[in-house]
Amino acid sequence: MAVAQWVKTLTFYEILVGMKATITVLIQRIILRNRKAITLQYPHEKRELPGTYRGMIALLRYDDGTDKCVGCDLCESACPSRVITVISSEVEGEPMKRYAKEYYMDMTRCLFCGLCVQACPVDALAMTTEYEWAKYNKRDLRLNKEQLLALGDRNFPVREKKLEFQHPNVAYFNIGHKNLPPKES
Amino acid sequence: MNPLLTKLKDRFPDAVLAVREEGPYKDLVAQVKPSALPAIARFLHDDPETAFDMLSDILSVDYPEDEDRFEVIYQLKSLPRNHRLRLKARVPEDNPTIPTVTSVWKGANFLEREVYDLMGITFAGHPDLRRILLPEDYEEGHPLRKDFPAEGRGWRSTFPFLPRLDEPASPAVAAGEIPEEQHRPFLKEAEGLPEDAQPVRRQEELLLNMGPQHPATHGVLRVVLELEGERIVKATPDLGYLHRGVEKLCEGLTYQQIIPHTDRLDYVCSMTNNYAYVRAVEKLLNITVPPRAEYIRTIVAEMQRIIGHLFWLGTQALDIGAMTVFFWTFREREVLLDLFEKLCGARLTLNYYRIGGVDSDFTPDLVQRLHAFLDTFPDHLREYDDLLLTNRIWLARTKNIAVISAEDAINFGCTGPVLRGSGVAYDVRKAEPYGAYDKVEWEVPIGKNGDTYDRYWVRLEEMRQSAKIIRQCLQLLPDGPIIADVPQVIPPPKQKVMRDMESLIHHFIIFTQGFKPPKGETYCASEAPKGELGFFIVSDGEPKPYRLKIRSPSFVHLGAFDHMARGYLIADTVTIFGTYDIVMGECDR
Ligand code: SF4
Ligand code: SF4
Repeated sequence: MAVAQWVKTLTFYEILVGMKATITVLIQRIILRNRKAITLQYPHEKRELPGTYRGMIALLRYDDGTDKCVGCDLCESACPSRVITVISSEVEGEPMKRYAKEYYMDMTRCLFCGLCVQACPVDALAMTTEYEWAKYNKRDLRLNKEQLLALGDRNFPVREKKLEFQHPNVAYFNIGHKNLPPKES
Repeated sequence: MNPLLTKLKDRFPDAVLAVREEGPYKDLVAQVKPSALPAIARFLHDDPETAFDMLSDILSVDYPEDEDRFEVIYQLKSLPRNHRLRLKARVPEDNPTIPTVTSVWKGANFLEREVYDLMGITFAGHPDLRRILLPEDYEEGHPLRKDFPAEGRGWRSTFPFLPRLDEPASPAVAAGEIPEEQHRPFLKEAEGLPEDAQPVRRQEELLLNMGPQHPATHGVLRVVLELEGERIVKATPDLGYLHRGVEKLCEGLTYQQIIPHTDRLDYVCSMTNNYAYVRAVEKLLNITVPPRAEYIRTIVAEMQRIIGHLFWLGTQALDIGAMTVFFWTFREREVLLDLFEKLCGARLTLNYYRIGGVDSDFTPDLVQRLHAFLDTFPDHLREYDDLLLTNRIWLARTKNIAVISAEDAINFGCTGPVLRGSGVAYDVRKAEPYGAYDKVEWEVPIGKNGDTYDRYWVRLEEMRQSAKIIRQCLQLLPDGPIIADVPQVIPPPKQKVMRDMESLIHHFIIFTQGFKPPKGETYCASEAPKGELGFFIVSDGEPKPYRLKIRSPSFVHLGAFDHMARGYLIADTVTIFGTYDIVMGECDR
């Protein structure tokens, strides 16, 4: 036992075992080439992101090009770091309909937590898979409504169909109760 | 009435003002006179029946309306008896002084300093009462007092040095050069030396600053080392570089808005932070989580433990000089992070747990990938063993380094692998089972010597146990909902919001006002990879917590730093930082 220990100590046995592990990988990688590299050559190669990815936030539109947002301010109050500012206003000529006249997101302080998306009752917000948003000037990260809608157009080419009373809660804003779809029981 | 409380009341009939069992979980609470605190603490610590050998946390709550304004709360834990007690004492505003308990629990040193710093309560007899998280020359008062605005004094955009986003950019400061005047002070000092100041040979202790910008300090931690040659005589950690005032911030947020903020405490293991927090809120609300959610939570928390320990192993080995391990552990970590990304869309700041359940369900694809990971994981662990387990350099750098005895570790309040490395089998998952931990088979690995090597071994073994837990949970995973059905508290599913007026109303109320938990307070501890992570919540019935205290293991562990570093070499300090597995985001909060 003691002799074996001595031999191991003198031959640097455990170091050799460790070296074997590293050198095996080296040989597999460089000579046999049967082991794939795990690293990616970013930015030339990019990872495939899952659809659930929580990247930049975008505002969505209906298929006829009108914004989904009804200016209800829920996202603003759900946001834990006060990223969102909504200034809502009436749709001209339709006093019971509202929309977001101005909509700002200060992305410098966003936590990308997704609570705003969960809060929005009409699914007007969505998180995209965009992430390369480094800027030289941080003012560029205060996005206005046009920029957010552009983000949405870019990332969600398939838009939801607008049915006048598709969402009863839109109908609720418009006091259009008579056309409610049947309730799930 | 609990016999423990009766005993305490009988023993100190005058000093113990009230005893009670609080809340649906019957937390033991004792209200005592501040002057009698040391005697009571000594009794609770020494008596074999109470045996409160560990001080989990000290915190304070401010009630500006009350006669005695501040309440100091001691969270005690007994490892041999496995019970907890909350000891409370009130101090008035004009003389907020309370005797220290550092002579009973050494871990009280840092905890009392924190209370002093943030609430302004003086601990009479404390050996080193200084500010700890805020700078020592901070003059704005004590931020956790209720009269300190939650916004802070002056907010972001009123600081002149921060550019405002809604104003045009000011002309840039001339291309980054340091003006001549700013060089002056240093030059003057050198010029001002008297002519005859000849260097003389002398012997004295050397002060060395380690950090805050040191690659091995795992964040921004500064330690002032007092050295004799290369040996450390005294080490004083200087914390607070990452202090963001999360506890104060939480007082201004509704309960579900706090979840993403807990991600940023221990940003290496945010799942377990989420878990610890939502468990505390669920305990406060007394809601039960559906079984499928419990299993998913357990699986995900154990995945996070593996990630945390892999991260720790890689960085500790890197600190000590072994490069390969770092790359290899990150390879495995990546697989699990990809699974997290699939599950909830983020890799680090996950925000996955919800009060009453979890955010999204496992997909079959995810389960399959997790199985594939578990199949290869033991082989990878063997590879790390090949590299480190008997490596003589690793042994020389870790064996008998930073030894802490079991008694000391308990007395300092150490938890997690740091405590288990010293041979104390305390694991919150076993002692106070939650999730699905009592439904699966696993063991608590413990070390013998309490040195860095044992803690390394304990963590490696914990990864094997975690893999075992995940495997069993995946087998047992029941079907069913992943979130509890409590419409007042938990937002209804989106599809329903779109169709159902009542759900819509709940949805609006929860997101605009938040839900209102009952009045009360609760402490809930969970086992994070780094140790016992506890959340203490005081609710006054409003949608925002009245006070939220985070008991972070890293902070408590740093309290034992001086004790563990004395007598070792400078080069060992990085080993000691590493062996705690500290993350400063959690330590400084
Ligand atoms: S992702 Fe979170 S932090 Fe960002 S805007 Fe939405 S709610 Fe606010
Ligand atoms: S919650 Fe949705 S609908 Fe309401 S303001 Fe925000 S984006 Fe618009």
